[in-house]
Formats: sequence, C-alpha cells, structure tokens
Amino acid sequence: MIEKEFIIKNETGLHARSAAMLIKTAGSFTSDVSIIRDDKTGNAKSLLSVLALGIFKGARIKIQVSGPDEVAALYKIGKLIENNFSEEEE
Amino acid sequence: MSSIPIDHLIQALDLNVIYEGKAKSVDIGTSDINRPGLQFAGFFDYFAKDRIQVIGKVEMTYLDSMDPAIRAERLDHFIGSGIPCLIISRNMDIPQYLLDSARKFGCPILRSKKVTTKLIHKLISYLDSELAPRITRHGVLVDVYGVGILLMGESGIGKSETALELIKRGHRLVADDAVEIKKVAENRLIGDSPELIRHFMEVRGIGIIDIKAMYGVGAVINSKAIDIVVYLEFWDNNKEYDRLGLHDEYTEILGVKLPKIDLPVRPGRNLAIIVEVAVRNWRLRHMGYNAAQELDNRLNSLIQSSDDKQD
Repeated sequence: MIEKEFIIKNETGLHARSAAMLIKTAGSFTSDVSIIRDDKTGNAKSLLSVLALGIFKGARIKIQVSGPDEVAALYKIGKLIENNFSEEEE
Repeated sequence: MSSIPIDHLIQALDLNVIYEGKAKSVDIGTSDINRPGLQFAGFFDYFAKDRIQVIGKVEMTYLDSMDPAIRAERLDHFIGSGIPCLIISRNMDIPQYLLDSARKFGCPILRSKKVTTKLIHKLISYLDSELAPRITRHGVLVDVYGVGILLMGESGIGKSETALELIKRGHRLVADDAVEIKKVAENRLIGDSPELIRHFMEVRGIGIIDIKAMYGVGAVINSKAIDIVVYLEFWDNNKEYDRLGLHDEYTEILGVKLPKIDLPVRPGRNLAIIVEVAVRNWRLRHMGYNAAQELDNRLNSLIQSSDDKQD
C-alpha cells in the first residue's frame, strides 16, 4: 500500500465534475483507491462516497492505493489533482 | 480519548451556559457520570475526574451547609483536578463561591432545567451515541421487511441496481455507496448515510438520482440497525455455494458478529427477489423455523419408519 498527501487547489474543490474525473481515473486501475480527509475515508471509485467527504478548496487529503498497479494509479491520480483537474484548460 | 465540542453537548441537551470556560471542546473518554458528593465531603480516593460532574439538589444543599474555608479548599481540589465540565441540574441558582472556583481553573459550568436523574439519563445516552466507535463502509443499506440489509461487493457488481429494484418493490433505502456504521451497543450496529448524500443514488449510465424525490418519502429511512450482510460476487464455478442453508456464516464489523450471505451474481438472476427471499427465510429462522432442518427431520422420520418396518 502506498499513499500521498495532496492539497486541493482548484476553485470549486471536489465538486461533481472533478469528482467524476477522479473516480474515472481511479476506476481504470484494479487497485483499491481510498481518499481520506480528516477521519473520514471514501472509496475513490465511487462517486457518492467521494462527494460525501465534502472536499473544498484548500482541503488536505490523502490518497491511499493498494493493489498490483498501485504505483501507476497513484501517479495518474496525483497528476490529475496537481493539474487541478485541468480546470483552466477547458 | 474522544473529544466532543462543548457546543454540541450544550445544544443536544438544551443546557444553559453559566460560564463557558477556557476550552473549546471537552475531552471525554467515557459515558459515565460522577456526582461529587463524596468529594465535597473530602474523600478523593478513586475520584473519577475524567467524567462529567453533575451537581444535584443534595450536593448543592451540602455545599451551602459547609464551612466557607473548607468549602473553598475542597472545591479548588475538586475543580482543579481537571474535570471536563460541571453541570448543575434543576435550574438551581449558582452560588458565587462555585463560580469563583470554576473561573480560577477555566472549567465550564452549565445548567439544565431537568431533574438530576433525568439529566443523567439523557447525558449517558447522548455520550454513548457520540462516543460510539464508527466506520464507513462501501455498500448499500436497505430496509427489507423491517430487516436492515447491508449489500456489499465490488464496485460495479450491481449493489445499487439491486437496491433500486428493492425500492421499487416497496422497501426503503437508507444509504447508497457510503454507509456510516456506528456501534451503539455490544451487539448492535446502526447504519446511516453521510448527510451530504442522503437518499441520493448513483446508477451507471443514468447518473445521480434522488430517491426521495423520485419514489417519495415512503421509500427512504434515515437510519437502520444492520441485521444481515449480503455479499454480491461474480459467479465463481469453482466456489461451493450454500445449497442447503443448514450452516450459518458470519462476518464481523466493529467487533459485532453478523450473519453473512454470499450471493453469486449471474445474468438473469433477479437479485432483489433473492434478497427478499433471504430476508423472509432469516425471519422464519429467527422465529424458530428452519426449512432445511424441517426437511432433514422429515427425511429422518421416513428413514426411521422404514427401518421399523424392516424390523
């Protein structure tokens, strides 16, 4: 299992559309992906469970990945978060 | 040790703040309460200073009757030992000496209108529920014939779809995707939904739907005790599924043993009906009737009577 901390920097936080992008990315890997905020854990492959965490701008989150393709998964998800879910490019 | 924001405690029990103290939250590791009568009398052995302290009529009358010098010393010893907060019942007036001592150590003083026993009863049940161990699980919680069913299984196996069919058949949704589970007693788990996504559901290909708006208020319920765990899994030809139902399988959540049913998923298998049947069967067993056992008994008596004839 590997994990990494991130700070959400995009304006709207993890709203419906960015959450959908996150679960799409997480869902393309076979590893289990969890997203942790404070003491709450959500399954990063399930939209409602990500939305339930109520992650807004400036929130500190932890991504936890365990499984055969964990390294690639964490890299891809990290890229997505660091690029602010490519909000600016759209 | 868990900590409860003092505002929550004040709100939940409808308390009056006499002196708010210096701390933002009270650290409480136990739902026990202490009435400090013995401490006021000067006996401080085994003093449970980590508990909420409740002063009722008896303690207050005793304090009033004490010699002011001894009283001040005992109160300083009592409050200075680091009690989380002090609650006075029966809406009694707070004497100045008590306030002075509390101010000295920054200990919050709260007041309730309730009589002492009722207040203690409410405090304990509130603390029990707030301090209960919790966990969030990925799954769907539904109420089927009044029995709480936690549907679990991999992402995309059809938990939400099964729940949808169950709702259509008149059962009720508690939580989809994220189920917050709370251990309220030794063998009792209560599940509910995170506030933000309550009664919403995600169905692949359609998106987010609102069950309450779509099926009405009768199709949802806010929280429910979990009675059975149903695991949905892809049909595995190499796995032996329960054919008789003579043996019970169990799983553990937060240390509570729950009956578990493994349901293999295959196209054309209506899982909602199977879940319904599983619940009806569970209720029958709960009432003392076990179909598999009954069949076994019939067989045994048939064998018995044919043996008798041969003799």
